Amino acid sequence: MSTNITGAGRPLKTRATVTVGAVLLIFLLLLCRLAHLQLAQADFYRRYANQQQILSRSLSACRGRIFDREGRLLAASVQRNSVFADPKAIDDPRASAAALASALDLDPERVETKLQKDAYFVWLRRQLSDQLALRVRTMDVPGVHMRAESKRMYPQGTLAAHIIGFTDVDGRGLAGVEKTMDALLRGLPGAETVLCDGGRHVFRSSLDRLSKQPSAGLDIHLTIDAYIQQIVEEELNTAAIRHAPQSAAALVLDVRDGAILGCASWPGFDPGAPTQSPTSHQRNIIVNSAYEFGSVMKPFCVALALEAGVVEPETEFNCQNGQWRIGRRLLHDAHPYGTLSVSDIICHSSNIGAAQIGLALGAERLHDGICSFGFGHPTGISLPGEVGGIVRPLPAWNDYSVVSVSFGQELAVTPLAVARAFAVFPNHGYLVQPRIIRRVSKPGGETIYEASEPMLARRVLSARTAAEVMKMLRLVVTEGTGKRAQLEEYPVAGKTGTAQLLRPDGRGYSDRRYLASFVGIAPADDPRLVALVCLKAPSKNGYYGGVAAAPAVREILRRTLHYLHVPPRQAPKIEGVST
Amino acid sequence: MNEALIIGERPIRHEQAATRPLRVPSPWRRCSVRLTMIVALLTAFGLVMSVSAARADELAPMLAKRLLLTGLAIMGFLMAARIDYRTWRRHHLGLLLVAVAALAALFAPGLAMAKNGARRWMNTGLPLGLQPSEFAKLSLCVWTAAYCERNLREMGSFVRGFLAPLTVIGATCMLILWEPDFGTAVLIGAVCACVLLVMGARLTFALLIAAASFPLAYQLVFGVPYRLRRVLVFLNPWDDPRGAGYQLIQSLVAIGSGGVRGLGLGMSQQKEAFLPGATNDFVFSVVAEELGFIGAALLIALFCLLLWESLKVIRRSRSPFAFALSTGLTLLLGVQAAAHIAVASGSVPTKGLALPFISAGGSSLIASMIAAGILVNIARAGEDPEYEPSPWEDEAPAYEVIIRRVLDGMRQIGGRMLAGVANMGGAR
Repeated sequence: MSTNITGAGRPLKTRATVTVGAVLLIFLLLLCRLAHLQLAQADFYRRYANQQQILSRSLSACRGRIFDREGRLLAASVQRNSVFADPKAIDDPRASAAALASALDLDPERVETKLQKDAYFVWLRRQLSDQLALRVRTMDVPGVHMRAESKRMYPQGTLAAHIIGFTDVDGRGLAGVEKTMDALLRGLPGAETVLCDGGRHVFRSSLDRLSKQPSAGLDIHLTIDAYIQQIVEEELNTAAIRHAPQSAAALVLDVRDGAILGCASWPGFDPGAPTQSPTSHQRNIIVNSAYEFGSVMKPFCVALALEAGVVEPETEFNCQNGQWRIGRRLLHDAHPYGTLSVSDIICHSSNIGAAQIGLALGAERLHDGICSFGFGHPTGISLPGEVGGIVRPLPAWNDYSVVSVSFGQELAVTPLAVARAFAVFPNHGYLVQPRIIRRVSKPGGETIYEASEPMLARRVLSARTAAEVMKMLRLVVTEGTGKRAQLEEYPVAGKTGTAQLLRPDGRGYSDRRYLASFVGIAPADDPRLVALVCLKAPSKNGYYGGVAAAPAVREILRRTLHYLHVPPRQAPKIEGVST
Repeated sequence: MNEALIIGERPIRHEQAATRPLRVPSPWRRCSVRLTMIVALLTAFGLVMSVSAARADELAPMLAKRLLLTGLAIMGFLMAARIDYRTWRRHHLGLLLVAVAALAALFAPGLAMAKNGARRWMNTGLPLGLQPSEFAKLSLCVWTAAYCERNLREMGSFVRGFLAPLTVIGATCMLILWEPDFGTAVLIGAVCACVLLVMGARLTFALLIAAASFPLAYQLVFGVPYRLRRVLVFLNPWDDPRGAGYQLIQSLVAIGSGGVRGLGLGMSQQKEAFLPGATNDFVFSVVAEELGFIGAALLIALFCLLLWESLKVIRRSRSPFAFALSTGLTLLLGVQAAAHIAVASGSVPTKGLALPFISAGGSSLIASMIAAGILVNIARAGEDPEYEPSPWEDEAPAYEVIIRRVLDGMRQIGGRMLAGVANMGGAR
């Protein structure tokens, strides 16, 4: 059976065998190479593979919601689609940009610049409406994808914008309660471990034992009542339109527990699109601004004098017919008065009278008393950027400081601090802690914090003094400067303020720009609410606190008390006071 | 010793033979059967891997395509195994001309499908492109074998035994090189040169040619920038892991992370857009990743068995043509498989070469199966005691006779013209 190759038989066979044998030898060498890779170096390559294949991504937690005290939704997060592009996967940036720009309402040139970037990821437009998302989806441009993101929505629109605040596009709280409560609202992000492919796309969704579910953020229930908030904003807006101030603020405080029921700053902004209004509109004047409130501060000086026993309500002071020189300073009253009792000094808001009471009390007691009302320090409410105001330390007081502080100059305070200090009178002399957070609950509803008991900071006045001052404040509305705050259904107490603003250049006080303010307490016989309205530099229709601010306070009190089902008293005549 | 007592190749002792009845040789002893089995195993392996190495999103179309191709390839194998291999010898010139024509046609506009800048596929109007170079391999092997048989006695001479056949082979390879398909061109050239050497060409000439063509090779490798990068990068792919070294690193990661046992069939992670060419030029890496060292070694063992059985076929072939052809086809399959694995494991510069029987390329699969079929046919001829190698001269087909006459005529005319030029209008 030998092969029948003519010519050289055996050498040819040998050559063939050697050649094929060489190939077999190569296979053997390759096997060694494989053994080296797969046995000796397996760990190294396994690690390298894991490093590029296993991706850990964070799962964002659903941000908590914000409710008002009645459970009305003020802020919530919803899932929205965001469009991004992979510029490396786009062949024709110009055409794609044109198509995308028209679909997304963007500038074609800017889109094209983005698409020509040397990157694998650029956002085109985030958090689209469902309609736009559908439009992009149907276009199906290669290299353009969508990702679900959560967008913060404010279903009540601009309502309570300064309190709620807003978030940035990534869901971080930037202002208001969104900022102060961010840690609670944010929740705990989870982590998910996924297998990804070479294009960083996930192809096997999760390796369960390495994943951690996110826990949703907590819900915040505010003390705000959306209905009262609406009243406050409407009335503030009406006053602002009537008097055209530079800015304005209003606030309603529940006397009994210091809860803020509604508070507004004017002008407002849309928390859903905060960048579309100037940042000055985002200032929450209630806590971010401190003013010299002027006459509104007189009741504190009087209360301290009464408490110290320096004066009695009937003690009379000579008000010098409206002009009194003290040192080199000449004090004025709005109207000339002769002799006024302490009650009348409050009632008619006499600067000269207040100055004399202050002088009788003395610098030290006045300073300490003002501080004990909580002025000069932040109230500690959960709103960002609260300022403490300015109460100059006693050693810095000059000869005129006692006089100035007595009628509300030389000390700057926030509207919230004023409203809180006023709540001392109806609260029988106790200073209450104002608050904005009523309840914190888990998304399921389980309460984990509730502000139940009113937090009384300290006693400032005796009950008797507080009652005396309440009587005087009642007289302000019935007989004095605050008549326009008079309500037929409810007895109102209050105090007007018309303070000169500092000149913009900082040199002394302006003669034309005033801070018109009014603080009202109602019902005076069983106080429920403290309401404050202040207008900075009203430019028309009067600038007195009793003219510009008092009507707004009156309307806020009337509508709020109606809403709270506080039974109206017998409709009184203007004089028929029943304190 | 009696002929009938030899079973297989082992003689049985006389006294034993006397007491036992004659045994029919087991079919498993026959090379043709073993070869068929090995090829069947490889094909089945390839079918499984085609599904296993496909990405999840393209699995269904891949499977459908592969089933169709496997069917075609099996038909090709069966036909090649049944057609007497001497038919190939009869048509060796025709086969060569068709191959060259098909390769040349790739340069005609509209006929080729350009992919990744290379014109390797012929546009058939179907999703499946035809890769002429795969079939050109077979044609050139057949032509080389036929040439060697016809010029067997002159294989020792430089011109007849070496330069002339190498010119034809080189010209065909140049066509493939221009596609460009460096890997396939080198593979065919190397295999055919080996066949010439096995058939008696002198090694001295080969070394001489190699030395002479060194500048050309240098130009080929260093003249085209991407080849130079590919050549250099395999030495240290980690220099540029995101650029030139990316594919090789991903291949090494696939192989290395497979470990001993592998990740399991279909569980490859590297095929998911990490490793380019995971179903084709780097399919071995996916095999190694999914089946581990055990599976990869098994696959290598299958190829070694194929070579081993083919070597037996070579040694038992009954004519110089069968000897040369089986040598060529064996080397074609073996060297291509070895080159593919060497590329995947980073042992040689990266070249795009399919793994015979396993890779997804349709032309490659069908050509490999036809090659295996021819080997089986040669094996069957070698096992047939009735077989008589037929003489060469009777066989030339009509077209070859015509071509030869035309060539002869041209040569004579050329000779006369040359002579005329030499004589400057001389005696004739």
